[in-house]
Amino acid sequence: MKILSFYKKSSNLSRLFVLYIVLASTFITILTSAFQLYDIYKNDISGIQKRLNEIQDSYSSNIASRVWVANIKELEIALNGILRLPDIEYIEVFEGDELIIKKGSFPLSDSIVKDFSLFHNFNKKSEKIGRVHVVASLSSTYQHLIDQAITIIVSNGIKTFLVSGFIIFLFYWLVARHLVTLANFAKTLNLDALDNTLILNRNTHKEDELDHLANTLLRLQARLRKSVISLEESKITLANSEAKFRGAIESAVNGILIINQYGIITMANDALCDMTAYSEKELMGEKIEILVPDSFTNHEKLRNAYVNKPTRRSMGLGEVFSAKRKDGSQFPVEVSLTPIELEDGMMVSAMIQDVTVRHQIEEERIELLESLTQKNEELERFTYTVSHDLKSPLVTITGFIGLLKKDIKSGNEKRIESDFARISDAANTMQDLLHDLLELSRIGRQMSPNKDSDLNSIVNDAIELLHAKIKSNKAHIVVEPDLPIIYCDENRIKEVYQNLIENAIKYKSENEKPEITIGVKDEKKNNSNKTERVFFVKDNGIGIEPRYHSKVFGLFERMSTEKEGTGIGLAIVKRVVDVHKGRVWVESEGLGKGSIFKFVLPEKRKKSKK
Amino acid sequence: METNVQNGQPLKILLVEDNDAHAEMVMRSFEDNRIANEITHVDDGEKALSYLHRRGEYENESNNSLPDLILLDLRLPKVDGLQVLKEVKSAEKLKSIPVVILTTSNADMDVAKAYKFHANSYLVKPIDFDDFTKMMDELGYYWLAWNHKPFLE
Repeated sequence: MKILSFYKKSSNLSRLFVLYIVLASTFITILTSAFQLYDIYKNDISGIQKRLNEIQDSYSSNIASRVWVANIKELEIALNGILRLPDIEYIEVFEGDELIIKKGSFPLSDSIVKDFSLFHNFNKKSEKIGRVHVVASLSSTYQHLIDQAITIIVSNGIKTFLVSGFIIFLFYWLVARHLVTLANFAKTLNLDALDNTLILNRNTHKEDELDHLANTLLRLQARLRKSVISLEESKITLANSEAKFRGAIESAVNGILIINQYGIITMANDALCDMTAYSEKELMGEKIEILVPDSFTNHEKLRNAYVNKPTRRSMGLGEVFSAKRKDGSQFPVEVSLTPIELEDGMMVSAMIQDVTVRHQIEEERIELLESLTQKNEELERFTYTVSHDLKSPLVTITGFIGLLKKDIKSGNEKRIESDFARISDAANTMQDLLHDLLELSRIGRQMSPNKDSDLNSIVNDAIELLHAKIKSNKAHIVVEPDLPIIYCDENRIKEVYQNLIENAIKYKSENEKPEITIGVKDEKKNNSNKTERVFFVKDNGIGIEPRYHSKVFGLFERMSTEKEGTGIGLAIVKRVVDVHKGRVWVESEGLGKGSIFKFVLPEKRKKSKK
Repeated sequence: METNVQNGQPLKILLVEDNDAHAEMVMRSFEDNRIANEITHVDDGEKALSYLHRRGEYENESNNSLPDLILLDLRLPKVDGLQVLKEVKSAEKLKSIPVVILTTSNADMDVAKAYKFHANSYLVKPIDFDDFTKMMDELGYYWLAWNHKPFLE
């Protein structure tokens, strides 16, 4: 049966419904039955009372007269008659207060008692002569009630339960089955199955609440279907836009990172992975600090500050940070930040540009610019020096030719001779200058390629070339043993030593024999803990005051007009060392303290494996 | 004019010139035109300053024998001419002494720097001897005869 099946499979609602119907029916059955039984009981009781009253009416005078005459026999007959009446079980008669007769047995069950007085008419005067006590039993009434009760309850029960059943059926037929349909429909109403139809099996044509409900459900279904379709569409749009976004990000040359407000990496593009040598998988879920060098200790603090007050920060502000690769190595980067506001928080997109190459180029550019500026200055100074110094002997020559003419005219022979000497000296000076200039210009133009050269033999060759000068000045030269192999143009470095030794002899002390020491030692580099290998030529000569220490290396600069030479020697030394990309300088505490000329040459570059 | 005397003092020139030959040329020119009574020649910038400040080897020179004119070459050993000029023009005692730059350099930078450091005149040594002689004559007349100098204590 459908109702049963409805009951069985359906919800608490129907179970409750049936339960309440059953309870109500039972209650109604009990209530109506109780009423009916009470009614019967009342009827029976009043019947007994009526009978007792009738007994009083019809028997009291009869009994009274028999008591008056004291006819016990007659009295007995009368009492027996009464006892034959239904329900009357026991009767007593009192004359005055004295029991004169009793008949029947006192009932064991509940009873009703009736007392009435006996009057005797005497001289038109009614006089009380005794009384009667009648007891009626209720046992037959109860029996009757019990008999009736079964019938009543059964019939009432059947009636009520039939009505209940009918109500249940009606409920089922009119409401419940449709509710089930509706409920089932609603139950299947999910995003995967939106094509089910809802038809209520009803004959009524008038719309009622169920139809409204059904229509509402159908409208809901339609709306759902629409939402699902638009959801699908937006899913596709989203996927497309995600693909476009991803494509754009992956095609970017710069590294792109997206981190959430807690600094967790949620996305990293290929360029960034290439840059840092991490895979995207390794970066995902890591804190951004994985890419920040350990020395940047307050990055997290700065990041939090940024999240609290996010602003767009573009690249090219000149701020260069360091980033850390997987292997711990660092590289310079420029970073631009863009906050991404989301419904549920914020993210930050970081664009990261590896500026290593740009940095190198920039450094090379600065270096080049510096060297160009230096070259330019050098050239300017060179031109200036040359024009001045070459013009000088020319002025002398023309001047003394003029003076010579005058002296020839006046016949001053002594002067004529000195004029000639001046002219000849000037011509020689000019020749020397030209020779030295040519020599200087060769350095840098005519260089042999650097090679590993034995400094011992370089220094010995230089000393050999100056043999005559050393001997004539009685100079003593000490060469430290085991000079290293150096990477240089050996002929040019030989020139350096030649000039330095020659200078040391030229500016010797007046009182002492020249004492010259040549060697190498490691010295601390300026502003760092590193040491560098310094070559030195030390003398005990006249020394140089500190204020002239840089001037001595200038072209045609001489510390004294009394010494021979053009002032090219140290200019050549400086030029050779410059061409080797080294540095040269002089240390001297001043006049009479001797001088140490020092220079460093860059170490041979180790060939990289690339 | 036989001799030139201003304020009753003989006229003196300090010649700062590292080239002996040039120094001789200048001195002979002045000898010939008999303008200066006394020319002191020093051959580097350091000596020039020592002379002017009366120190070192010039310690014993008397104070009132400061020169009336300084002829200054620019390219000098040790302290160069521009440095000498700068020091002269910043020394209260010396700055009113006319300083004439006499050099072979006609580089714009040198001219500009010389005037910046308050040189009173800038002369380039002519290569032609007649020009040279003429320049020396006129130089002497201009600065020592025509030009009035302040009274120096």
